[in-house]
Amino acid sequence: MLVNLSKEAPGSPIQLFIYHTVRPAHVDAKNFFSGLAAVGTLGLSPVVMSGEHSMHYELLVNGQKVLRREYTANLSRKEYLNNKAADTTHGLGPDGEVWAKTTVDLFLKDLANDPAVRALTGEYQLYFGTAAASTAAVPSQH
Amino acid sequence: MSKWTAALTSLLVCAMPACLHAEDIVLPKDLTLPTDVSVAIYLPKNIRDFRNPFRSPGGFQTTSAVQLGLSFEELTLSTAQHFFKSSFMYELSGGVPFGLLVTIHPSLKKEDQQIVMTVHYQVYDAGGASLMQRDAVARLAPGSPVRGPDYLGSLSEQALTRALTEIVAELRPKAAKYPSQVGVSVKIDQLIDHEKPVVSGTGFFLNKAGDLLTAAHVVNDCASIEVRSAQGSIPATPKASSALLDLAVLETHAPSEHALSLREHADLGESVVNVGFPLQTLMTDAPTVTRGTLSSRAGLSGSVGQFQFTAPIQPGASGGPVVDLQGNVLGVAVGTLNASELLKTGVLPQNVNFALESRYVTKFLQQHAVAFTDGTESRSSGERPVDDILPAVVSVKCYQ
Repeated sequence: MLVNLSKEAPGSPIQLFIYHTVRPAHVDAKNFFSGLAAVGTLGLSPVVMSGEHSMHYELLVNGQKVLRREYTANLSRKEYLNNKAADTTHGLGPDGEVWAKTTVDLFLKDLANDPAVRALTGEYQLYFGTAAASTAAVPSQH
Repeated sequence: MSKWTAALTSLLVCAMPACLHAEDIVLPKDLTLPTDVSVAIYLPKNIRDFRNPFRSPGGFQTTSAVQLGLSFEELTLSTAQHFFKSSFMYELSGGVPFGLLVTIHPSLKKEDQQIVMTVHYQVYDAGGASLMQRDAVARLAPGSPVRGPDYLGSLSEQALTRALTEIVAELRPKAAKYPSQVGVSVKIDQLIDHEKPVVSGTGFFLNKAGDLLTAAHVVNDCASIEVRSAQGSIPATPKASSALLDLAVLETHAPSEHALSLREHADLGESVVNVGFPLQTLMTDAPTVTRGTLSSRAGLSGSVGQFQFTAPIQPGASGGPVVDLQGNVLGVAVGTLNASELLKTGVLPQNVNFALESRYVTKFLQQHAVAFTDGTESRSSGERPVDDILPAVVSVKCYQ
């Protein structure tokens, strides 16, 4: 199903959303905003936050969820970069990035074994056959 | 009195991060929380997963979201556990015994620069008798010293806390007073918000038995579906559905004198008419008719089975028929280009709308053994007045 993944297929009925969330550990409203204030005053950005990091995978068909998987890891790192520097790890940090990539295989395994996904593949073949290769769109993130 | 009970009063007066503008609620001193009554909580499906992911206003140059809040379902259960030893989400399939059933319908709006969270709640016993209903309101005033990153979560928690406090203060519930039973007398109508559908769309009758076709996304996860036409309102239930095609057949068990036939293989440039019930929050329950042409055999990049047409459509037109001048259905309206998003890129799209081709509709109906009429033969006949088509088209409303 995901052979023809494309970011340029906004009309595809099948969409795969992949995103990352952080539930910061030991961060309350007050010191979270202190952290944000530091961004403005010191030019610092806490680019890797300690806490529960999750990689989310959601397979949707015309907006309806077919499969949703969430893989979680506790990452306890905190680094500061000048906020003008691009964070190429999207807040995960180098180790977190390695972990995030391992979740792709986990998701693909779950995808292959899911009965709802198998039913969807069968339905796609029934209506559209091989004339239109199944293309799943990967929308731009956030 | 538990520590939580003692803390409730102050929590309700000024909960972090925002202060409540509400009168204090006094809990009876002899009431111990959590009580031993078992409580089922009904939340509309569309609100259960709602959460407020906080995204930094530019501090993080990432594609990640900082997730501080709980979903509304998690928030509700976590708040309820302070009041009741046993609380759980009520599913429409039922079967789980409870002592009290609390239905919760939250809404959020801006009012005088305040963010206002209103939780409309109603409490039933296991026999289905209504015990109380009220609105619990929490407000976030402008200039509040600390709004917090998950301010919507905090606001929701305050409104929920107020609602549950009112319930225990007024009913003083205990398992002995409200013993757990399977709530056989609770009807779906008691759970849903009848005043406001969560989704409105359009449908049309396929046959005289009263089966009608609409878009699947209009009727996903509905607790109740209502079909409205000039003849009045009737309930409908799903008979067949395909998320892939975005189609659903509803059965009404109300025989219809009016049904539309389907015609495959439309011509490029052919004149088409769309009938729909758009913008139902603003407009009356009268159908809207627009004219245009079949402008392309292809839809958006990546789409399958769709054609493009120029007859204007608005939100609420989903599931409506795109018909030829003889009244045969050529396709089912499924979407339009998002003009506001495209405008940000400097492009203003005009009349770019999409419909699923009839040949996929007929295949879907055959798969599910739903009767319909093939309109190919009537192509050579004269133009049919639009007024003839209108009685077959209805407004579809989904309630939760």
